[in-house]
Amino acid sequence: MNRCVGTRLVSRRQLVSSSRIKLPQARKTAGITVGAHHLPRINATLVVSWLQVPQATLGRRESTTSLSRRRACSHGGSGRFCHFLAPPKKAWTDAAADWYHDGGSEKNELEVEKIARSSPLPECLALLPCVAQLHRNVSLWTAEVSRICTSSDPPRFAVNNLARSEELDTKFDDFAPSTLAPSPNLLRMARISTGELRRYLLSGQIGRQGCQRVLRAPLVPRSAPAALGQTRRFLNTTSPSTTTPSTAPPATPHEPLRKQLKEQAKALKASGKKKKKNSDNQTVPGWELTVGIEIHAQLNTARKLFSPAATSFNDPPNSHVTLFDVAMPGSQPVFQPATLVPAVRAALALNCTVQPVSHFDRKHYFHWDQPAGYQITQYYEPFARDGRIVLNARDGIAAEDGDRVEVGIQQVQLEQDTAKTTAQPGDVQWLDFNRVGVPLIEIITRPQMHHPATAAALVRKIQMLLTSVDACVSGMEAGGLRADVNVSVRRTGDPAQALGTRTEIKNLSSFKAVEDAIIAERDRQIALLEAGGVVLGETRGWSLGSTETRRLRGKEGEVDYRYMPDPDLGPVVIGAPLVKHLAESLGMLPDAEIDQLMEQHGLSSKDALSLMLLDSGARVQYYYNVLDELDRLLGSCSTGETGHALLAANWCLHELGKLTDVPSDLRMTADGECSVPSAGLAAILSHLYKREITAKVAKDLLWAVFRTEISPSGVTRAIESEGLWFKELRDDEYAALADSVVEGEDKVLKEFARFKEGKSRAYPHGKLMFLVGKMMRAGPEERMDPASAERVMKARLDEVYVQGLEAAQ
Amino acid sequence: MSASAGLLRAQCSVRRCGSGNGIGRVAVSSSQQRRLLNHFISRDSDLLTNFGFFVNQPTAPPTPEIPPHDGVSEPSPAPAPPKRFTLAVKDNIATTTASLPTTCGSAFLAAHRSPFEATIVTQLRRRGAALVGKMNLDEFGMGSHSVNSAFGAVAQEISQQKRSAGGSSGGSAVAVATGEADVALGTDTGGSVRLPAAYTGTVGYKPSYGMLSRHGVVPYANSLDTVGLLARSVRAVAELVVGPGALWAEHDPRDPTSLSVAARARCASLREGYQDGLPLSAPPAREESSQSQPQSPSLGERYTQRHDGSSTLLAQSHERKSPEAMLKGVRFGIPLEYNIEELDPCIRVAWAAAAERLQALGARIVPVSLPSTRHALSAYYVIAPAEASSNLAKYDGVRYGSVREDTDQDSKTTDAADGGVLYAATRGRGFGDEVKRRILLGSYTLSSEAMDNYFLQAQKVRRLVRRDFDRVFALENPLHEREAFSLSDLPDTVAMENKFGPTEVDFLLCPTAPTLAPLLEDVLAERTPVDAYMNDVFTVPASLAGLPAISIPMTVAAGEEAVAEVAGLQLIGQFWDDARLLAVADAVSEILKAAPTAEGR
Repeated sequence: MNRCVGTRLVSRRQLVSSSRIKLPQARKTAGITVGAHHLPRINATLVVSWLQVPQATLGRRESTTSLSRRRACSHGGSGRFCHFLAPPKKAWTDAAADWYHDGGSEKNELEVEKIARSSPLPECLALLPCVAQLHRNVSLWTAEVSRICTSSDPPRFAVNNLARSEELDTKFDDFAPSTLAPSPNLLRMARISTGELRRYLLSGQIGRQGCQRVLRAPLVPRSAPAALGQTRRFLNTTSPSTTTPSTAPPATPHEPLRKQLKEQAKALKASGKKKKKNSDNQTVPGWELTVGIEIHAQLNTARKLFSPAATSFNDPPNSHVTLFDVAMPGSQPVFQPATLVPAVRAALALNCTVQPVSHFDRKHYFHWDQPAGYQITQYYEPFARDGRIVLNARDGIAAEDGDRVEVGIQQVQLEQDTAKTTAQPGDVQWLDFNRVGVPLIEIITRPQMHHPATAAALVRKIQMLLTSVDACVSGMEAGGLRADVNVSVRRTGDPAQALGTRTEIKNLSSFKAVEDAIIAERDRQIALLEAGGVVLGETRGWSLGSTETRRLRGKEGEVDYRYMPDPDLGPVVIGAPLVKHLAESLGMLPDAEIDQLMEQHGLSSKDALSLMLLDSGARVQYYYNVLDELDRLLGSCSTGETGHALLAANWCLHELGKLTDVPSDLRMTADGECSVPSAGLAAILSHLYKREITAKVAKDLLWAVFRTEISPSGVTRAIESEGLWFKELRDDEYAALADSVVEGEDKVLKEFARFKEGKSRAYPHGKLMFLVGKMMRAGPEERMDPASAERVMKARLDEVYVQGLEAAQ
Repeated sequence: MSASAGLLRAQCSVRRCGSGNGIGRVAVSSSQQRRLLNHFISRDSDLLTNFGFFVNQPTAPPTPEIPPHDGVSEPSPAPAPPKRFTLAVKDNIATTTASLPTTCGSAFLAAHRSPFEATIVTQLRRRGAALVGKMNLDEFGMGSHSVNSAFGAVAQEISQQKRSAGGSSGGSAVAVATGEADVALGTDTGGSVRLPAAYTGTVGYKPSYGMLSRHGVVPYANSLDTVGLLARSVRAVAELVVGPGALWAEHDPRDPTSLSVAARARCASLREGYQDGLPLSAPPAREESSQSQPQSPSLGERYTQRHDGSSTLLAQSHERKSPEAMLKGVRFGIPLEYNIEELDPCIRVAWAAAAERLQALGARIVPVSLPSTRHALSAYYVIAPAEASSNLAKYDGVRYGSVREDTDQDSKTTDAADGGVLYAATRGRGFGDEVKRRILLGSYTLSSEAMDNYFLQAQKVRRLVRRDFDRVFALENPLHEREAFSLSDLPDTVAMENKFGPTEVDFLLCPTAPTLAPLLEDVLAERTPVDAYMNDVFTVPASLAGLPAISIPMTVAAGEEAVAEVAGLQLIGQFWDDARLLAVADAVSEILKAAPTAEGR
């Protein structure tokens, strides 16, 4: 069965000639059904173990549903509302209505908190919208009564409304392009150049071969993916997938080449021919920059947001798809509560307040990667609000920001990802619905950054935070994180002045792109304003290496998303005990960890930060593994010392990095293992630390382990069999060697004598090292330690030769 | 028409549904000889000569297939062996039997074969239903006369005149009226089951929202949609819903708006007429005779029993009470605001006569006030199109519908490369006029500039409507805290029962539609398409509030010659009071049959 769904960008001609990828719908859906049926059911114990609820508290392992049901039954008998299945109606009905009311929420919050408090821990697992089902019908949208009763205007609107419909009816022929608010993406989509498509193709979304192979392969029922049973998923850290951004890939604007070149030349001239270094380009005198960022991150969950289909990367296309994912008529969303665990963790890591009640809304726009015609998101009532992130100097903020900057997080919301589009030759687009409905969080910061480097540092820090609490599957490099930035400028000197008009730059996929795009956009806006122009509120794009952002669409092309609360989905109720539990089990956050690495392990702040960031947090895990093993091997030798930790850190960072130019060659996994097993490196380092081998030998051994020439457990054996032990010269042998080297170096010796006599102030260290170097060359290198050589040489000089000289004088 | 560059390849090709697909069969005429029906799909022929109420019919004779238990949808085993009955299904409910497509009356889904079966169909098949066909409807359920279908209009013939069959479940109603099916499934969003029932003289029941699963029902307006049942007698409906099969008790985990088992238990514990306990325990053995289906003792009697907290309807259901005994002491509210100018005088007369008759039998008739009623229709036509515009966004030619090559049309309006809109041509072609009208309406009311003035106002009105009902019903709405009402808000016309306020009632009694079934030609010639919206004025309030309602046939004397015609009498109950509603509706319909009100005048 064909698993690739064909969607085509076709010209009329091609439409006629090609039917290659057209699929009969029934067959397609049948395939989906089979796939879906082979998916394992949600494992209840999995959910429980995710939450790490103590067994004692739970009593026994049960599914969340049976828990909630049990409780509900026991309450149902008494005829009272069970708080889970039906929390005080008023509280959340009003909360439901709050999104269009400013006031009146204080009381609700209190009530909701009461609900949350009254629910003991295991039940907090039942944070599901089951509560909603009760109230679904009439109450969800209804508003605060007292207000309505006093409102005087309801009757009129209906008349206008109906009148308007007639009006609309008459001009129906051109089917309402403006009313239906189509996405300007579509317009762009249609203009994708072949060059763009080729680049898109070659960026390796799904190998073309791979897809064709799948096309021909017979349908084999899929067995359950092994990863599902795991409590954590470490997908994609070793084999980064290049996923397409969820919004349309930036297309080249339709502009004549000559004009483009002209503008480029102009821009180059304007920037003074030489591009400034970013670190010197953080401010423009007389102007203040303001930046806010929206970050989309894929959550680390086993299931999609509203269907039990598994989340996956690089699995056969359309193999994890349920009927709801492809918007089959009559299918309905079923919220997967386990999604909340990484989401709440992320919110906590960002110091947000988790909202007891939140809602899902529909955001409408047409695009083929979105089968329902809308995206389910949290627009009016996000699940977390009011967070903040502290950025320190070591995070790489602009020097102008000093030691520390605090950036507010306005809200964090849950939403669905879209399908993955893969361009094929001949204007064909293939859709892989595996990614449809995969849970994302969108993090919206307040406009509180004023320097480009600080904005980049914020994105970097958010990625680090999300990784450290295991909320996120992959970093920016792997496409698991994307950023949109809002940029505005205003003249300094008048604090009362309002912020300037902002523009939005979409879909930035690297830290550098964030910084570069902000600088370019700032400069563009300032140049425009200084020339007497006006900044228009528009959406702009950025491609790597360019000097200027480019216009994607203006205000007039803006989509009216027609946000509407989803009528099928109830509120999400998150109990305070769950939040408390997750907060307690959050583990150490990156800042504390960096402090620990610096203070207890003796690392420099730069090294500590690098260790944390490399391989999306896997490198530091590797370091801990090496250190644990090293501690074990060294036993009592290492107690109370940090020297071995520093040694391990240096090797994990620098020596490991020298093995290959391509980081992925290390095949680092999230649980901290790579091509050089931690045990192997620890074995090497233990010998090095005890001075049983030389650093050179250690490096050779590392190579051998990396190339799997020797096994990690065979390190000691290899040293033994190859005779690599460090058999150091005795002191008298060093002394003999030193004597032989010093011979004929009277001129050098005189320097030492001058120092001794006080004629020169500084000890002639360079001369000493010259002699040591000579000594090393003269002797058997594999048996010598430069430090020992230096020590002996220095002693000989002091005790024998200088005195000899003095005596001679 | 032309397909533009950048248009997407459709997955399903349009299957032309010409008359060749029609299934010509002579109808079984009803006992009253009131209608003569041809029914086949027609598209190209004159609407006035062909009445299509079947969209599709299986070629093999219907035999019930008992689906196996999947252990998910139904926690309780259905009684076996089930009684067999024929079932007609509105074509916006997904079926897989005999590979019938699920078209929703739309060209978009003309060839759409659903890969799964709606929960409600599975549930009914398990209870012995044999599918006779998929019934014609207004496209996606949008309409009041079943004329907005890609497969042609549905109609009934009364006295040689083609009359509207009502909508949007018109095909289902006609199938039941003609005896093609014993029971028909419809969907009721704003009266789509009750209105056709009223026009065709059948029984149309809309359950409480959240009782019957919507999984597999193609949504029109999710927050209003319910699955409704049509039959020739109230008893046939009651037997399925509160009878031994206990359809009311079944939660569907695949429908997020289906009430949970616990919530059902809680609601039922506050109501009468449901079995003790829940379907968690095995339901009682099926009674031998269909006569012995659950009936309640007199409600007045049970009010005293209620304080003991021991008795339920079913506990005493073995002997059936006479309709007179059933109705004794029941309080019926007559909503004053429903006596509108547009109400056909003959219906007004029959309504009053029915009330008098009930009063004569010991029921109490109480005038009540539902002040928000007059805004309900407007609110409905804001909320429903808004949700519809969202639900129908998926029909864009990518997965559903077709992108067709047609060079005749002016490419400028469709070609995305020329600045047009990618899906506009596909959607413009695929939807019928009424659907387009409502999509535009909904898109407008949700747009950022209109949201506050329309959509949000409508939601407020919706809440007021629900509050009106809660105030007049004696029973509390289990979904909401009891609210305090100020007597000063009440109109002067409402009589006070005592110093605490006006009398509270058990049910509301009102007409289903303001007029008799209109002539089809009048419907098709209506000045503006929105005139038809007027027909929903009495049915929309219960939909907005999620309350159970039922339309039963009522004979009226129409015209100057006092010709006996059929209209609908509607009963509305408090949330989850479905069991009592059905029991009382059964009694009322017995009374009306015994003494047709028209003749009584």
